[in-house]
Order: sequence, then structure tokens, then C-alpha cells
Amino acid sequence: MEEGKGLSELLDPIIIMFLTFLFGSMLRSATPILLTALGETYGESAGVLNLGAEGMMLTAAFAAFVAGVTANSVLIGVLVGVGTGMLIGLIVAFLVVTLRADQIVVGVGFDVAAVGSTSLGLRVVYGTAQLPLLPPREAVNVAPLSSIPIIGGLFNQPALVYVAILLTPIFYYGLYRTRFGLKVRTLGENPMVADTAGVNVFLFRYMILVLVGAMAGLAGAYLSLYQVSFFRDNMTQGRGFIAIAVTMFARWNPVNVFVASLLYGGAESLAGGVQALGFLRTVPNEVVLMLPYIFTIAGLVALARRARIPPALARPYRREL
Amino acid sequence: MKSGTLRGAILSSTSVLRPALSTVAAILGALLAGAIILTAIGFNPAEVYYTVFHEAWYTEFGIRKTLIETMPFLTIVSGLLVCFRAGLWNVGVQGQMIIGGLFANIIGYVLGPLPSPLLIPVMLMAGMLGGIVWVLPSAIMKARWDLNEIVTTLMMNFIAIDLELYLVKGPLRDPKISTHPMTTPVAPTAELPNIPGTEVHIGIIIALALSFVIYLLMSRTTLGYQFRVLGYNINAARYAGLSISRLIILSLLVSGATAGLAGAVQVAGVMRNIDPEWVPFYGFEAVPLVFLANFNALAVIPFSFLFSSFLVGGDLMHRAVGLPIFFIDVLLGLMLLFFGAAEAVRHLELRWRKVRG
Repeated sequence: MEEGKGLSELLDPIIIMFLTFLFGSMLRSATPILLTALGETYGESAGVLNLGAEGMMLTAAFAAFVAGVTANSVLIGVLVGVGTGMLIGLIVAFLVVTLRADQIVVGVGFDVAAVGSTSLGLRVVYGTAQLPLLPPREAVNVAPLSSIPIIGGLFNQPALVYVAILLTPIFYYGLYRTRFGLKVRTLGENPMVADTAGVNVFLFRYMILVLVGAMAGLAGAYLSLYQVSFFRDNMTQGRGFIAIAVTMFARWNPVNVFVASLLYGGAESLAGGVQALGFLRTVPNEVVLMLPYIFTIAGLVALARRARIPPALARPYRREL
Repeated sequence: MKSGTLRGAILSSTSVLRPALSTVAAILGALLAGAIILTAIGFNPAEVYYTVFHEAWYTEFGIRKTLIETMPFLTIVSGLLVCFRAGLWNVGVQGQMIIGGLFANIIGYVLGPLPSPLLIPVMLMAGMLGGIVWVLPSAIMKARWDLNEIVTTLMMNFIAIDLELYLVKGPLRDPKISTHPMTTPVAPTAELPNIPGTEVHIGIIIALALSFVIYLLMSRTTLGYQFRVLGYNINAARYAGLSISRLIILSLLVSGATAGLAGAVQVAGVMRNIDPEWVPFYGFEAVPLVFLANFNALAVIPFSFLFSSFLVGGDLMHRAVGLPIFFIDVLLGLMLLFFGAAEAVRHLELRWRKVRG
């Protein structure tokens, strides 16, 4: 850096605007992935692969939107979203834990049914009329930090974003520092050992799937109530699957999940920023829109190669061999 | 990813009738649950179902469309059952179909001066190549690094949709159509002829031939047997000395090629050129078919016709009754869920019998 010149003087104003946008929006873009992936981390650690994450998020996004608008309360919307996720988690648990149905078939089945039922529901509830709009969520700013140039946006986020960040250490502590977490991980390693040690495998997997559903539900509610203030057909756009990928390349560690979600959020914001500012006119928008997906694949290649998968993942448990 | 119940079903399905029970249960269960949903949202289920099948089968327009729409299902699912049976989940059919369609569109235009008997096969092969190109990265990532193919093929769908938008609005845009971005249509010589005496293009015959070839591949060849062993138990396959990577890549390439072929046939037989809005429906929606047909390529034929009827009848029903077509997606998803549940119950029951002797 040259003597006597501030950083902001060295940078082109367009670049400053771009960076400000990037830092402001990366946490917002990361949040739905982070929430869902934290839940999936527990699910997969316990040996349950929930491919229905996308469907859970989408259904919850729809339910949260309708409830939020009807009750004119974002809190009620969020609660309904979480409840919807938990309910689907319970149904998934019945199918894959009690009936021992194939986890992939059930997951994909929920995803297909969710796309159809939410788009159908939207038209049943609102017909062809204009969708009601919620006023956008107000950001909560962390006073002195939010006025830092360029990166200040990181500290000026909607409340749920901070909630997601705070959940990260809690989920890490729960999974790696408590007996509960040890039991969860044993379920993914060898459910028979867990059973022998007195862990109720069926009850635990039910609980974990309800938790997975709650987190995907919260993420869905965030999408329709916080990230935007409306519901759109298939608005999850693959985020449930991206969260599953993030879980894998974070190797089932909540702290890594946070870092990976943040990087994903960066990729998504980069795409948004390039579009919004017409920055780099030489690169077509459509190419930029591919970034988050390319990022996800690149992340898998870079970090999930030779990852040690929980041995009991996606296998139903039965006591008799 | 292992799954005892399903894999067990794959090799142990000696009886034809018993697995068919799950299929019947899945279809009836979904229709019944669908009827409950319809009643709840104020539609008469009998009227809706009647209209769907009446429109799809008993109107001239409907039956023609149903036959034409059977082709993509049949083509795609024939390929999917190869990789699903090998235990690999290609959910990127949508993207592979788009890229196959784009390849075919380019060849059908650029090589327009060629005579039809030469151009059409070349164009269809270009479509298959497009599908292969799009599934290849996922296949290699799975074979080399065991990266989950469900995630990677799905990500490739979104990339394909964006690439399609870019190409159709940019380099491939037809300068002669100024109102709306569209690709240049294929040459008239590239258009698929109709089956003599009908207004249904020959794509359905290609699809039927393909499903027969896949049936022979899976039931009569060593390769088909190797795919099944891989899907049943990867360790058994390894112990038997099979090349796992080769089988993973081959099975995924077959499914990519058929998806690309379906895209090519859609372009050459129905659309002629590509609209940026073209996002084929048959992504996840083809998945239930593989299971309902119990991995049997010949059984795929009637189920493809059934799904096509749902799709076409659903669309026409939407105009007649006013029920949004998304209801059909709900039905297909429910079929998969009921199938999973029915299959699981069937296995619980078999196990119970075994225990009881």
C-alpha cells in the first residue's frame, strides 16, 4: 500500500460497492445452507441420510409464508415452518426407521411431492391473485462494527442470521463434547454397539430426524420470510442438496459446516453482486449464476475425496442379523 | 450407499407377482391419497381422475400427445434402470437431456445439407454424446473419489439450465427471429418422420427398440450381470474381481446417453429448435418409474405410457377442470413414497415368515 493513502482511495468505487455488497450478503446467502447442513450433520452422523432436505425446506418455506402472512406475524411463520419440518421428519422417521424403507427412495419421493404440493398449494391458497407481500425483515446491526467500511455489512444482518451463527458452536459442542453426541455418532458407526450400550436406536433416530426436520424447516422459513418476503415455485433451487454436499465436504463437523456454508454464501453473493452491479460486463449473467453450483462440486472434489463416511449411513437397523 | 431392503429386492425378485404387489400398492395408495388431497382442496376426485384419463386416451389430440410423450419417459427410464440397478443414482437427467438437445440442434442445423437417412442417425448420436459429456464429470468423480453422484448430477442440472440460457440468448440465437431468443431450427431433413398413417413421429419406435436392447443387456449379457452384482453388493463385486470404476462409469454413461437421446428426439421430433425456457420435466419425475417397473426394461413400457397419460391428461385436465397441473407431481412423489413403504412392509413380512419358519 502506498504511503499516506487509505485502502478506500486505492480501490475503484465500483469495486468498493461490489465488496460492500459481497460482505453484506454472504452471511444471508450462507444461512439457509448452514441451518440445513447443521441438522444434516446430526442426521448423517447418526446413520440417517436425509435426501428429503430439499423437500423439507420447500414445504416449510411455503407453510411459513402462508402462516406468516395469515397471522401477520413473522414469529408465527417461523414457528410453523419449524413445525412443518419436524412433522415431515417424523414421517420420514416412521418410513425409514420403523418400516426400514429405502432412505434414498423416501428422500427423493418427498422432494418430488414437495415441488408439486407447494406449487399446487400456492395456487389453491392465493388463486391467480397477486401474492401478498410481507414487509422485509429489518436488519439488526451490531453498532460499532456495522459502520466499518466494506465489511460493515457482516454486522448488519436479519436476526435469524445471528441465530444460525450462534447455533454452530452449540451443535459442535453437542456432537463432539457430550455423551449425547457420542451416542449419536455411535449410531452412525455401529448401531449394534449403541444398542448393546443401552441406547434406544429407534428412539434416537426418531429424535434426530425430527431435529433434522426442524433445522431444514427453519432454513425454509428463513428463505421465504427473511431472504425474500414471498414464496416462489421451487424456490429452494437445489439448496437442500447443496446443504447435503456441504455436510459431506465439511466431514460432519459443525465448525467446518459453518466455514463451508460461508464460502458457499460467498459464491452465491458473488453471482448476485456481479448481476446487481453489472460488474464485469464481459461475463454473461448466466455464466455467473453457475458459480454456486460449480463451487459446490469443486468443494466436494477438494475436500470430500476419501472422506470417511459413517459406516452405518443409509442402512436401516435391525436387531436380528 | 447401501440399502439392504432394496438391494435384496433387486436380486431376490424370483417371483414376478410379489414385487408387483408393491407397484399396485404404490399406484393405488397414491391415487387414494391424491383423492383425499383433491377433496380437501375442493375438487371432485372422480371427476379429476376421469378427466385425466379421458383426455389422455379418448380424444384424438390426447392419445397422439400421450404416445409422443411416452417416448422421453421410455428412453430415459430404460437408461436409468441400468445405473439404478448398479446402485448409482443419476438424478441429472434434466441437464443431460438439455445438453443432448443442444448438441442435436447444432448438428441438425449445421449438417442440414446431408440426406435424412444419414443426418438423422448422426444427429441422434450427437444427442447421446451431449448426454455423455454432461454425466461424465459425475461418473469420474464417483469412480475416482467416491463423491456422491446424487449431489453432483443434481448440481449439473442447474449448470446445464444456465448454460442453455446463455447459449440460446447468445451464441446459438437465431438472428432471423428477433422477437424472442431461440436457437436456429434444425434443417427439414433432420426432422423425424411420422410413423406411416399416423401423426406420431418415429421417436416412440426408437424408444421401444431401446427398451428391448436394455432388457437384453440386463438379462442376457455378462455386463448386465456385473451391473447387478455391483448394485447388490460392492464388496462382492470387488471380491469377484470386477473393475468397479469401469462399471460405475459405464452404467452412468448409458443413462447419460439415453437422456441425451431423449433430448435429441424431442428437438428433432417435436420442438425443432430450443427456447431458453425449455426445462424438461423428466428429472426426478422419471425416478418412480424405475421402481414401479421393478427394474424391468419391458415393464417400463406400460408405466411410461401411464406416466405420459398423467402428464398429458393432467395438462388437458388443467384446462377443463381448473386444477393446477402440479397435482401430477404430487401424485408421482406419493407413488415413490408408497412404493418405498410397500416394499419395506413386504420385506418385514417376508422376514417375519422366515423367523416363524
